[in-house]
Amino acid sequence: MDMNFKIVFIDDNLTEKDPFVQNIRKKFPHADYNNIFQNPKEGLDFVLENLNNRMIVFLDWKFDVFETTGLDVLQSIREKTSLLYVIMMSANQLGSNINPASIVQMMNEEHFFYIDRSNSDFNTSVEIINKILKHWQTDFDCVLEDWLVKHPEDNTKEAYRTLKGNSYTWNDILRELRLQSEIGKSFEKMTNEFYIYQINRSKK
Amino acid sequence: MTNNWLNVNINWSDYYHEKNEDSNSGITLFTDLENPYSFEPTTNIEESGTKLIITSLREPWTKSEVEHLIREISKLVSPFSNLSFPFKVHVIAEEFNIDQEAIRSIEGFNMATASFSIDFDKKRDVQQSVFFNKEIKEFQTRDIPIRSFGGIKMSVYYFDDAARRNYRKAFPNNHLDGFKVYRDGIIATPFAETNENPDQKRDILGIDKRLWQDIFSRVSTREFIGTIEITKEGNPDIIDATNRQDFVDNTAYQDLKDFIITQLNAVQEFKIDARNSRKKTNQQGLQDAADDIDRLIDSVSDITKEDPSLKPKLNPLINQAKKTKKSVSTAISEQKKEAEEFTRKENIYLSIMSLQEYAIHITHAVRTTLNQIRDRVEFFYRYYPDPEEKDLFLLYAKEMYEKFITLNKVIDFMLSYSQSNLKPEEIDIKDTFEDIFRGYQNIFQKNGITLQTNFSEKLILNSNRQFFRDILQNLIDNSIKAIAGASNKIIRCSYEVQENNLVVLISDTGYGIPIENREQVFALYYTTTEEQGGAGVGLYIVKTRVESLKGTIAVVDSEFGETGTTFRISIPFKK
Repeated sequence: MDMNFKIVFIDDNLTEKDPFVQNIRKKFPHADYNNIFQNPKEGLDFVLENLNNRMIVFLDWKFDVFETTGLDVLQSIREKTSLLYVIMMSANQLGSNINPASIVQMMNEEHFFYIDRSNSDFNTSVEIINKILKHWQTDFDCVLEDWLVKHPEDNTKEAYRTLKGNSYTWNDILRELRLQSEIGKSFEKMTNEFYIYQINRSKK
Repeated sequence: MTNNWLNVNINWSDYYHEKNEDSNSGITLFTDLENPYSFEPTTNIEESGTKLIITSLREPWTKSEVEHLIREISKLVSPFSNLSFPFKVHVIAEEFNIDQEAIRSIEGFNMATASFSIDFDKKRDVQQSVFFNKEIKEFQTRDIPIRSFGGIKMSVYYFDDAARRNYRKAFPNNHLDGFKVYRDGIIATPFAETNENPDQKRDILGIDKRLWQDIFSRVSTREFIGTIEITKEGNPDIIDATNRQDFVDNTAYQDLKDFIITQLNAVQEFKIDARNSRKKTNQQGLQDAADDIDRLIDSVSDITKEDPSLKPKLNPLINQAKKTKKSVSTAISEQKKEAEEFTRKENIYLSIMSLQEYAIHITHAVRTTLNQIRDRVEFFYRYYPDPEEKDLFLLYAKEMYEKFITLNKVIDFMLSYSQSNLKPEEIDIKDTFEDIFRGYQNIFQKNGITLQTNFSEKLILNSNRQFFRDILQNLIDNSIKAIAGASNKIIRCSYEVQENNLVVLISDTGYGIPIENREQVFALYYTTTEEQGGAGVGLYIVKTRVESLKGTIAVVDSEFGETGTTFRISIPFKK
């Protein structure tokens, strides 16, 4: 499967040469893995600027020098989109230094994974990425993205026009989907309903 | 009609019955029910009120439940507020011979060992904050700007053992139970669930942390009564949580909690001071007794010299007095031994506490390094001998080698810590200081912290190396936490000799300490860095260690001016 996607690391202890990053490079040669941010603010800015890309974010739970925590970054991402896959990493086991309220908050997130970096090996992160790749095969936004990659001529075609007359191309729709805007969400619902209707009609 | 009160009598049980009697004559809507009413002549038509009478209960209550009810009701109204309207509750339970007003008696407060009250002035933007002045042995207040939670009034009544016993005798049903928060005179929160075991009682302010408490004179909720008076208008950000057990956890409430703990720490200082005075009085008492006996023996001896015929009669008395003197002397030396033993134990506890903090620090460092090594080993294991990754293999081999060296250093440090003892030794201050700072090189480098030191004079002290290490380490750890959010991260340490004192200054460019908290920061469990893992033990250890060396420590004006904190330590020595 030819899947181009970005992997972002927001962790004050990671560098490009770190074996954790290098392992991912080796396992996922098609991934754009070299997006590594020691500063959580810079990492967050990068993520928010690239929301129209297919992306997985590895996020450190705690930053020694910065007051921002991983949970803060996660919250800021979720204010914009719930579609983005975030993998929280901590050197500590859950429960040892993470309070129950924060755990509950994380559990209640969509598209979320957790890695205990002290007790897991490279395979853990590889398995999680593979799982996400599988999700992507059927996620609406990813299916659309694939389509547009294969049919570039469709990118600028009008896909939707609101009652007020605002026009959206397929490219616009992809962005609205990733941002989980009202337009994006209602378009996804409408499209799904339409195809269920179509399939049923064709069965008659 | 204009000069009449309307008196409406609502019987709730009527509603209950009517609703269930819908079989015969159709449904009676509750709006159809008529309540008997009457008009009563009055001179003050503005006055109004409600009387709520509860006559029957679904479940039978026990005597202790009724007493508990009285106890809880007694807390509904602040004993100090002058409500513009009376709020009275009368409890009658004939089967238990209970027929009384459920109001907390103010007399109980007079039985306290010590007390203080603070107030605020909104016009001048002034909030009083209390501290215990050891010099004159009194609570004093200082004016600070009104904080985010708004102005508050507070009274605290502390009871020592004897006062507590008297209080229990006078009010067997009314426990000493810490702070109550009243809004406009009526209790705001919490209605914490009843619990027979006082150890399991919740305390919204988290005052009652029991770890180490008895050893270090912590003030527990069972030693004081306190009222905190807030108002709807003046403290709008202190909001009752929906479960009525706590307040909404916002910045204002966090600040309020900090403020309350600051006030309570003054009580802790009082308690420690009282303990020390008591110890001194006891020692002096025994010494006086010994002196008295000496004088008695001398006088009796003088009498026998003047009149030797009395000797046979008085000699047994002298012998008895001498025996007593011996016992008293033994008691004095025993007491001394015990005091030493207490200090020794306290030092051991402090070492354990220090080590506990330090262990968290070290285990984290060890774990991080181990994980880094493991990742590199795993890379080898999975990909060796992939020729494309030759450069990485080489890099990882080198890094692993370096990380093992780091690991060894950390472990050496840990071992040096555990092997050192508490006995004084000749120590080179410059070497000791540099040694300790060397241990932080990596952390400083990683966190972008600049270290400025000035250890000019060479100085040998006969002192306790471990204590110096505890002091410096805890101060540095504290600075690292305080500095985390600063853009310009500097830690500065210097020492100089002033007369017969070693004066050490440690400063950082962190977020600083508000002036009202300058004494409080040294209190046990006082922390402003909880998020960064601060448990409020570090500065307490620093202070006790400095005091063990007969020195003093204080927060002074920051060397960096507007920003940051400077700690000044002064330790006496003989040249």
